Amino acid sequence: MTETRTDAEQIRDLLAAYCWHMDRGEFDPIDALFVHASMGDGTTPDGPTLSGADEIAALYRDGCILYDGVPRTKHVCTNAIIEFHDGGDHATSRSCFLVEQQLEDFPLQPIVGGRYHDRFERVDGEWRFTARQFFVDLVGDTSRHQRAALR
Amino acid sequence: MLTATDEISNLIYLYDEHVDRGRFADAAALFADATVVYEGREITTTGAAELEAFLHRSDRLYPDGTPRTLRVRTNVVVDVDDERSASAFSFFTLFQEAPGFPLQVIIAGATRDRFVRDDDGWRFEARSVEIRLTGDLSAHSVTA
Repeated sequence: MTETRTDAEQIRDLLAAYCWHMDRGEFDPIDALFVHASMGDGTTPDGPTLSGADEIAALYRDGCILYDGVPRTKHVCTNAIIEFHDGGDHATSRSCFLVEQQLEDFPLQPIVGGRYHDRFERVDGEWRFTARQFFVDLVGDTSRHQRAALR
Repeated sequence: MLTATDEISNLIYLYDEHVDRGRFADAAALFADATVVYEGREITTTGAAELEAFLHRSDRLYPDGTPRTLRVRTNVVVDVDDERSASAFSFFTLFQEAPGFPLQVIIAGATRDRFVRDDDGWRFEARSVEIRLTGDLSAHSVTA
């Protein structure tokens, strides 16, 4: 049986793939997701924008603390408002993220929440990220997840 | 392109986004022709003005102009009756972080919605909000 994923489902799959690989500490697939994309902090629009897999990968590889190869997090990405533009080969999504973490000496808790504003394009029938802006809105104890303080 | 289910999901998430960003008038405008019932609290609003007034009572705004919340909406099930009528139910988990109030979950509840569609697209017709699980609302409710 052949199942056809709708365009919106394929975009939700990309949002979920990011969470899946982040929580497993699999950075090579993260590189692949953003190889054609730029990334920046939406709360500081004049700040640096990362582009291409190398720069974006460094953000994760340098910034994310791993424990036996995994960050001990769960990225919950929800509320994706998906819209199509320019005849249907471009799309935008505005979604929420909430990250939970637990370690032996760190009880299960939410550690950060915010939003992703994403852009996508369809090339040769495949959807891919072209831009991600992240907005960190709610900050908890990120000391065991990120090497640099978020606020 | 967007299916009816996608368009209805977008509406549900758009309301959450407006409220979390403190855009209460925009949130309430989505319910211009709709009633909202808060089960067990004897609160019903009809139309945008009543809902906006309720939001100003229920969600305290902080200096950044937002209630410092994140509405994590999950388990969205949309049931399209026909091209003019649909219903949905969903869960929401409300997280908050505010000055002096560490990031934590403060409310978990369920929402049932009815939608109608006309030439302008889908819109809310009725919403029922069920809140059974509550945490520390001291940084959230204006009237708590």
